[in-house]
Amino acid sequence: MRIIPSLLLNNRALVKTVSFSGERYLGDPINAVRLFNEYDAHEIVILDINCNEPDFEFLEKLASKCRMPVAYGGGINTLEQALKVIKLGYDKVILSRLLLKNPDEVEKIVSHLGSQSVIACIEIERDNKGVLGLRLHKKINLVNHIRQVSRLGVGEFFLYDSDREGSRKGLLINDFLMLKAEIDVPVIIGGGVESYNELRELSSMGLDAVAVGSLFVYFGKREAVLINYDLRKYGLY
Amino acid sequence: MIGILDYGLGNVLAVRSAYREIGVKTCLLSEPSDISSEVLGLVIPGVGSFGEGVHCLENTGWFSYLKDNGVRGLPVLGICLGMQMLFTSSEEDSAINGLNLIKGKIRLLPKGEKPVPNMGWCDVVNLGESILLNEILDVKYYHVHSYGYRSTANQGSSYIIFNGEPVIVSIKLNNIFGLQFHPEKSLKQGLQALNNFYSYCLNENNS
Repeated sequence: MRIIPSLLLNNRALVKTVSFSGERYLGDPINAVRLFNEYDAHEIVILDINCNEPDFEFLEKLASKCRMPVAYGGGINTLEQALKVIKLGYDKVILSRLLLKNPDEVEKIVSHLGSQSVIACIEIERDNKGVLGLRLHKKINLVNHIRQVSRLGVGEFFLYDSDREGSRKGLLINDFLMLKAEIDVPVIIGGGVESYNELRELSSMGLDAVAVGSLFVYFGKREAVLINYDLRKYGLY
Repeated sequence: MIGILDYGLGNVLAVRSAYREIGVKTCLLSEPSDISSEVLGLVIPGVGSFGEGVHCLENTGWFSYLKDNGVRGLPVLGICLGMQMLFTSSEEDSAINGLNLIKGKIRLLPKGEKPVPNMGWCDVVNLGESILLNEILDVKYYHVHSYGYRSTANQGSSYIIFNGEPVIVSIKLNNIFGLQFHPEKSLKQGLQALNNFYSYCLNENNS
C-alpha cells in the first residue's frame, strides 16, 4: 500500500484546512518538501486549493526540490498547462474541476500524456441524510460521475473525503471500499487519517494507496506543526 | 555533459535537477543541431503516450537522428516512454513505428491481482551484471506505466514481476540503454543509476 503525504498550497504557502475551510498557515512548502526528501518519502501529492491556473514559476522551484515522484493538482484547465506542469518535473497531473467542466479536454490530456500520468480527483461529501455525493456538484450522481470519468481513460483516481478532511477522525473506509469497487485502475483514498496505527490496519485491506495530510504535518493534541513521516517505526515503509 | 532531449513531451527538468544533485552538467537540446562536442551522452525523458512521443521526436528531427546514431553511436538512455520508443512498436499505438533500435514489441501489462497502470515502488532483479544498476540488491525503483517489454530477461538486463510475469525494466544493447522506471525519482538508487550512465559515457568518450 502506497502512503502519500498530501500537501495543500495557497498563494505559495503550505496550509491546512478542515473540510477545506478554516485555513491555517503552516509554513514554506519548499521546506516541507526538503524534509520529505530527507525522510526518503516514497511520493507526494501537492494540491493548490486556490488558484485559477498553475503558478508555474513557483511550481518550477518546488519541483526542483522533489527527489520523489510528485503529483500536482490545482488550476489545470488545458492540455498546454498539463504538458507544462509535467515538463517542470511533476510526474502526474491531478484534475478535478476539469472533469466536470470539460471532459473532452481531459481526454486530450490522457491521450497526450498517457493514462498513467493523469489522476482524477473526486471530492466526496455527505448530505444531511448521510448519502454520499460530489462536493463540486450536488446534483450529479457520484457513482455515475465516477463511471463517466473512468471512460475518459484516467490511470488513477484520488477519492478525497472532504467532510473528514483535516479532522484526524479516521477514514470512513466502507464508503471508500464501495466506491473503489466501481473502479478498475489504482485508487488513492484520503481525508481524515488519524494515526500511524490506522495506517497499519489499512495496509491489510487490499488498498492501493492512502493520502495523508494532517497526520504528517501536525504533532500532538495542540497540533504543533511538525513534519513527520515515521513509517519505518511502524513497519510501513 | 549530458544532453537531455527537450522534444516536447517529458519531465525534462526533473532529469536535469537529478543530474544537478550529483554534480553532472546537463544541457537541454531542442533539436539534433544543438548537440555540441561537449555532449557525451543523451537522455530521452518520457512521460506520455507512445504515439505522441514518436510524433514529437519526428517533429523535432530527433527521430531520424536517433536512427542514424544507431546502437554504436553516442550513448543514449531512454527513460520510461523514452525506453519504449527505442523498440519496434507498441500496443499503445500499434500503427506507429518506434525507433527499432531494440527489436521487440511493447505490450500492455498483464492483467491480474494488481491493477494496471503499475504504480509504485517495485523490486527490481538484475540478471547478471548490470552497468546501470550495479550489484545493488533488494532495491526498489519507482514505476508508473501501463505498457512494458514483457519478456524473459537476458544477461545484463533487469526485470520486475508484475502479476506473475517478468517485465524488463532495464536493458542495454551496445550504447543504447533503457530504464522503464524513473531513476530521477527513485531516491539514492535512482541517482546512482543516472550516475552510472554518465560514467559509461565518460568511458566511451575516452576510449
